[in-house]
Amino acid sequence: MQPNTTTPENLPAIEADGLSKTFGEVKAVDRLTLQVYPGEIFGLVGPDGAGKSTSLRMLASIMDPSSGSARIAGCDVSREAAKVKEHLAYMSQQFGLYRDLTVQENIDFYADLYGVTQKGRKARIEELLDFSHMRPFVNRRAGDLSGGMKQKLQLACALIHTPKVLLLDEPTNGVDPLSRRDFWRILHRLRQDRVSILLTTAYLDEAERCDRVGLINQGRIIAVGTPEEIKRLMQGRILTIRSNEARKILAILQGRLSTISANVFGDTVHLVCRDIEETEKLARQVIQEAGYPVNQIQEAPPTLEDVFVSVLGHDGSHPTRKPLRQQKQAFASHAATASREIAVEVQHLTRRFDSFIAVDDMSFQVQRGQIFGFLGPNGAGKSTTIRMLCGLLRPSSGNGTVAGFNIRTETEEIKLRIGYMSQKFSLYEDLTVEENIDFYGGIYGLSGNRLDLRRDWAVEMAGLTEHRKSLTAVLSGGWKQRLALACAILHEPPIVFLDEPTSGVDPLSRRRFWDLIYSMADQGITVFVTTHYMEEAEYCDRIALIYGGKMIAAGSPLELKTRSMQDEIIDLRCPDPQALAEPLRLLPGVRDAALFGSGLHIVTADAEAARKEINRFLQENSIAEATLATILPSMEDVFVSLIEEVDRRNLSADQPGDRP
Amino acid sequence: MLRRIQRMLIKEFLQMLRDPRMRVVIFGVPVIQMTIMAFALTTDVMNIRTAVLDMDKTPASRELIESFTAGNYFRISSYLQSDRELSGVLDRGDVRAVLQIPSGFGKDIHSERTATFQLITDGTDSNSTAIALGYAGMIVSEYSDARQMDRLARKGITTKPVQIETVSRAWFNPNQESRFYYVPSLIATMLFIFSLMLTSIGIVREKEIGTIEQVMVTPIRSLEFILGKTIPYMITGYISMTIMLCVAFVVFDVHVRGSLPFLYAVTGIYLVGNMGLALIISGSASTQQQALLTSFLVLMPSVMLSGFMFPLNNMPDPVRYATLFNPMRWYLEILRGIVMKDVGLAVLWPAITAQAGLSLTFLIVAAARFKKTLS
Repeated sequence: MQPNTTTPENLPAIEADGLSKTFGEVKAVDRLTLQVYPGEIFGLVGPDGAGKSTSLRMLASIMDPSSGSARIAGCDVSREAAKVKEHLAYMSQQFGLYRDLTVQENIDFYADLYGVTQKGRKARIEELLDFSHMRPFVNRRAGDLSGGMKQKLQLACALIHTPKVLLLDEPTNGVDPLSRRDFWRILHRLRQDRVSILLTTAYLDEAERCDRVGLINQGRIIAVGTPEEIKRLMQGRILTIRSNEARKILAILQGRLSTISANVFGDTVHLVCRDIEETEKLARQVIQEAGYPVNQIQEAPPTLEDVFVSVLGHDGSHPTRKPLRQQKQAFASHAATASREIAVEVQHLTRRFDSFIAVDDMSFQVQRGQIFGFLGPNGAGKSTTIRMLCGLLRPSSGNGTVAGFNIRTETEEIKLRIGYMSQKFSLYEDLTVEENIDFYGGIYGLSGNRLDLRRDWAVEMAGLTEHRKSLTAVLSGGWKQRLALACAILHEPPIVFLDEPTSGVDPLSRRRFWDLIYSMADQGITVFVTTHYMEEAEYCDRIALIYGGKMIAAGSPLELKTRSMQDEIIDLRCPDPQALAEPLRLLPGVRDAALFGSGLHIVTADAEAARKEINRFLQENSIAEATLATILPSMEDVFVSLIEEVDRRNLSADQPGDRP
Repeated sequence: MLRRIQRMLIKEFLQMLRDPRMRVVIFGVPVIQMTIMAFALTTDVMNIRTAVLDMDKTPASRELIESFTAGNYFRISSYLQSDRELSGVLDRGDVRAVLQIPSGFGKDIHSERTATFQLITDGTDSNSTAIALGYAGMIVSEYSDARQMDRLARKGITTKPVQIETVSRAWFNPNQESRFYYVPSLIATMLFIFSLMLTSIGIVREKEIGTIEQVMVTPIRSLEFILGKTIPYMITGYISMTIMLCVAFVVFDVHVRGSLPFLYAVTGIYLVGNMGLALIISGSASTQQQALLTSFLVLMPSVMLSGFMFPLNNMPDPVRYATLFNPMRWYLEILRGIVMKDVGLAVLWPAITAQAGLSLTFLIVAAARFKKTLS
């Protein structure tokens, strides 16, 4: 529990003591107690509605606690709110930016608010622009920035005065990996300046980079410690089985093995079990009997996400399993043959908005029964493509077919055969769960007996049996998301389009959601999904990487990882990796070094030579407990390197590109 | 097709009736607005507070003052002692008029010279001042006539002199009470506000939360969506109108003289036009605030230039021609015609034709623009 930075004179900069907040009957935050020390990054992790944002708001003295107390830099948040605000920078989930003002004007406005003197101001702004890589965009209106750049600008605005404490509420939600890397670089710089940082996040790989993590559920902190300490809370061990037939293997293993949970992630089956030797023996036997190919069976160290799911998901993967079987019957009509028919095909698809090209000459094919992932940062053109395929938007040029129908001329036919779930989980919040289902069922032309059946199915699939009559507004994000999916596929379409279906949803709900996607694919349904979560991309059968309206690579996750990247990746596990990133980047032969989970990924053209350099560097700095391994790149590595390649090309081709 | 529209209607009404604010807007506001506005909005000028500066203090001056207070038009609220107080009472707005009688007023009458006195009014509210002056003129001429008779009587002439008298009758509103005029105007205004604002906000809200996109990927046609979205507001418009007509009858004793079915039928034309306008507005707005603001910008001139308060005939020609494109202007004409005059198609056909033409135009524009709304 002791942070590694504690020295006797080091008093906590953030201190919460029995902090509680009740809204009517609901205890949003229940006796929250935590300390964050100077120079520490503390991550608050928990499912939707766990009380993360409320905790942050109380600490920022924006909201009065119902009971308990908290101190920021020694000042009480309720009695000395004015003093607290001098030491504090807070970034909420909503954008606190003025969309009609330029980057420079926004920064100036906040500088005025914080009373930054004219003298120190210029230097500070220059510094902020530099380290947020925002300099080329000072004259752009904030509303025209991409999601990641908006986040960075907001952080820059919050940092215009030098705070002792930084509170960040889901700062990287919906931000592309490149911007996330920049963001973490900034946080690391602040940490070196002894700023205390408390952040909430839904990305568990980010949580692994925090010095300490607090798991919060239903308003209560259930565990605090370093990521390593938290991982020891994992119940059971994890056995991974890599195979090209991972989903089929999971299907035959289910019911045969007594595991705590079983999931598929891309080409890998994760089994959480108590006795790993016993499970491995049994699994090998079962798979052999069935005659499926297996690439590798091995134990894997748990990630924070595994812990999160095992600690919070007592009801884990089980509730989804039962509905899944019933779903199979429901979808029987499409489960016919897994032939290699083409579900979606586009050629040279282009969409312009005035002079802006949102989708630029895109061509691809999606086979029936495939999970096709569309991966790219916000504003890359993913949604625009989906909206053209769904007949919501006319292409400017190019052509395509969905379920064999032309996307220009036969949109009505297409609409009968697709399910579509938009980014915002478009439900009517003032209607109940059942009323929403009835409405969407009704406009899909379901009625009478069929509607009754589908309603029951949908309610069960979304896990909302006990909430049939609840208003949709009171449901948490994960529930809304499953209900939105259920509503989109009430009419049993053979093709389903999901536009960022898991954005802003906690890991537990994300896993459950992917279970649903898998079961749809199993029944021959084609699933077209967009995401900016890199790890989710690995769950797809095929992915297309989208950047700046163009498709920059496509293939199976394995193909992309092995073929599309020329550079090699060295994984470095060491204490305090953040501090090493900067000096390592300067080593000869190293192209980039970035945080990845709790370690560093070092990009290099020649792994052999680079390893020598890195080893020398580690020895010179007497860093003993470090392990180096040349690994298969992760999807994030692939994506970032491809994006950087495109940017380099653009930069050399014309004026300063979008990214410095 | 019918099933899908039916589903839209069920959903719309569930949402509408579930929202407590909407319930108040649909059922409460018409009653409250109607009652308060119609009581408060009156051009009947009564009990004008008047100060008297009587520097004459003769029986003749007292008689004049009495003749002013005899009707209910003027009420003496204070007596001034000198003309220095005069500007004070007007500045502060204590009184709306000052009756100043100079010394020698009685003597002049007595000696059969032209007698003068002064009536000073507060001209800030030009309308009611004009009305007050009208009353005063009436009173003075009566007073003057009486003095004339006295004078003739003294000379031994007892027969009345030759006189020409106007006998005026205000048809449709014999007592010229403004409520008969305002109640229909209020109904037209409220219907305009309701149908325009609620409909445009209702559609834009779906845009804002993204449900419109979700719904448009279903096999639903845009026409079905439009109908499903506008029919509920048409129905609530009718409900509001019915409530307002009831209030008008119960509270103000204003009843519809013409045919009710005819009234409801032509109201339909008006409402359809408003739906078209609302659709056009929702096409250009992407947030509810924008929709509200745009509706407001349409509302203000439409109400002002409808003849609701300011007679159209007094407006300069260009403005008067502009009002030809104001749906509320035509509806007001129709509504007043039916409610107050009991006239029918034979008289109202030009207004109804204009109204229908406008509604059709709005609908065509809306339909053309709605496809764009979605993308």
